[in-house]
Amino acid sequence: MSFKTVLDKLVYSGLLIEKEFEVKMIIACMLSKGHVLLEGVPGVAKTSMAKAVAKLLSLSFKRIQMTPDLLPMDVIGGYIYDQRKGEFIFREGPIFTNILLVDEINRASPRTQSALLEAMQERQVTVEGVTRKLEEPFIVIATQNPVEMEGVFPLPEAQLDRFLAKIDTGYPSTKGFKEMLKRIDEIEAGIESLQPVLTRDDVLKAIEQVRSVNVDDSIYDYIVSIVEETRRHVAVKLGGSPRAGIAILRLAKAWAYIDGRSYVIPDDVKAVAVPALSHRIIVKPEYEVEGVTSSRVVEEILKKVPVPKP
Amino acid sequence: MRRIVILIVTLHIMLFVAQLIPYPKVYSYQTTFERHTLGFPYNISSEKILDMLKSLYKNLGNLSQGYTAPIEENVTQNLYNTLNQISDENLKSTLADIANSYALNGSIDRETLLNAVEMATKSNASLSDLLQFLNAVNSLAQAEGYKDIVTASEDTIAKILEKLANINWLQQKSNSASQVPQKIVEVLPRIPQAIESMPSLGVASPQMLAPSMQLPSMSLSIDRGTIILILGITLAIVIIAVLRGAIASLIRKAHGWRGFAGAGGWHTKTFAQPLRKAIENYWRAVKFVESVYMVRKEDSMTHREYLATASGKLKDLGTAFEKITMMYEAARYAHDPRSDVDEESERYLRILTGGKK
Repeated sequence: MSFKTVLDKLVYSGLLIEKEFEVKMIIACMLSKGHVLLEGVPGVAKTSMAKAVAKLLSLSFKRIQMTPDLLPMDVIGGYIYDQRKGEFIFREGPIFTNILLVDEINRASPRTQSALLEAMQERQVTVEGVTRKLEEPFIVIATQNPVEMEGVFPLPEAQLDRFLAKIDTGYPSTKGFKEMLKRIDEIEAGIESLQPVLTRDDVLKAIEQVRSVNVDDSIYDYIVSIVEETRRHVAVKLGGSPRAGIAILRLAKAWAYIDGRSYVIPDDVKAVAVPALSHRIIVKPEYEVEGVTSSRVVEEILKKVPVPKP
Repeated sequence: MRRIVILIVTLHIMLFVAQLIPYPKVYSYQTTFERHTLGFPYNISSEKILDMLKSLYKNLGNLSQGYTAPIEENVTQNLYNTLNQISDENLKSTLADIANSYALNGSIDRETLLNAVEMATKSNASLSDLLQFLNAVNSLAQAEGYKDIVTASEDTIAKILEKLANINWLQQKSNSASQVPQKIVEVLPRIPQAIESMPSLGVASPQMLAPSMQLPSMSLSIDRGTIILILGITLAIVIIAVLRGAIASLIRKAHGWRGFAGAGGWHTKTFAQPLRKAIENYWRAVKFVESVYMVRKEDSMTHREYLATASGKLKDLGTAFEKITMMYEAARYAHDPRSDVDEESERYLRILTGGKK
């Protein structure tokens, strides 16, 4: 069984219509030991995607709905007094899971956001001086609504950088939407009845195998050229950092692995460049008002930077 | 764009030839010019123009009070020119005095001009002389800004013109009736005559205003042989326009094959180090597809992107190019050491190029 099976079961079977890229990117992030930020309006199957992936990989899944009054303790857990034992015991928060869906991350207060993002980075939580490691694989799939601006705490650039990839999820096409409406009962039942196709150990093994995916020297050059080009682009205020390059490399390796290859090709780099770079680039305000987005800048750069030759 | 140009050219030639056949002698003749001053009514009557001019003179007269006009060279010259055309001795001597005085002093007094106009009204000179004399006095009065004299002279001219319309009066004034119309033609300005013949609607042509002015015309005498030649060229253009796709494809293929066949050792010029066979074959295949099928591989295009783009045009040979691309990928990025990668690549390149590698 490979990760292609996951895609077969979810996408090619028609359960998640037109979500191939998103599902593949979530798996790539997981295999790269990163986290993913899904940006999109409500009702575009973000939760369904996360749930379905967790089910197929026999992984534990939890969901937090972020609100402004949510405390760090509500996410990472805390000590409570056990009357029977007469002592304080640690109660784990929802972060102790394999796949954590954080809905509307920008609704949480900066304090809670920081606690969560720190745990994401360190892959461990420290409460009252005691450090607890989070179980691998661990992936946070956070969502945020780009439309609502009131009552939200937008993630600072430094916090955004903690996500390996940002995916813009949009509405399905007219044809896909119609197909979804026709088969909605079948789709819902299909997601509910999903059976695991891979075990947790398979996932952990895959994470190890991704590390050994072969990368030609020219691919490194290609990644460096792309990241450096983001710093030279006329519309960019802040270009990609070395961490952005690392993100591209890791995602490209995972992407190649999911495709069943043991080597990276320029196509892998191109496929992951936009999700890996778009949230790490700051566009100049004068270009932003003209409708230039960071995704568009990266797409332009990909059309400009030459691929390795010969 | 190119097709549109070809079609337009063809159409023009066809129309031109179609014009030639029934009329071997062709005269290019433009009857009207679309010329008209915006805001100025084209069907204005001569009376209206006269009213407007009078009003303008009055205003000019008001503006020029207390102003000494400089000597107008043109006015002086016109006076002397008119002198030569007048035959009546009295009028001639009066006008000579006026002209000399104006030339010497740079101005002329009102009384002299008024007297000249009065003298003209009482004169028995010919109509031609009278009109020319009055016109000269009038232009001088205009130059000097004497609006009353301008009005007086114009009134006199108008009266003379009115009388001209009366044939009985003309007969009384002339011994020979046949000579009068000749004099009228000489003295009457052409423009009012042209205005009368102007269309009620539309734009006046310069020919109407100046009938003597002829537009340039071109005469083409074309023999039968020339017409056949033009028709032949037109037919050739039409054939090229219709079959341009097929012709262009043939030329491209012939050129592409030639370019590809003559590209021996190209890789040594393109790349510094010797390449593995599978990699070299891929770039040869790319060059072949670029030359023969005109599918350019952009620098930013990956090998898989190029395969997707080229496959549509390669049709049956798409599989061969796909295999070559996959062999390239295995050799270039997977560093597959197996020799059959190179051998397979060689085989598919032969299939792709039809053995002309």
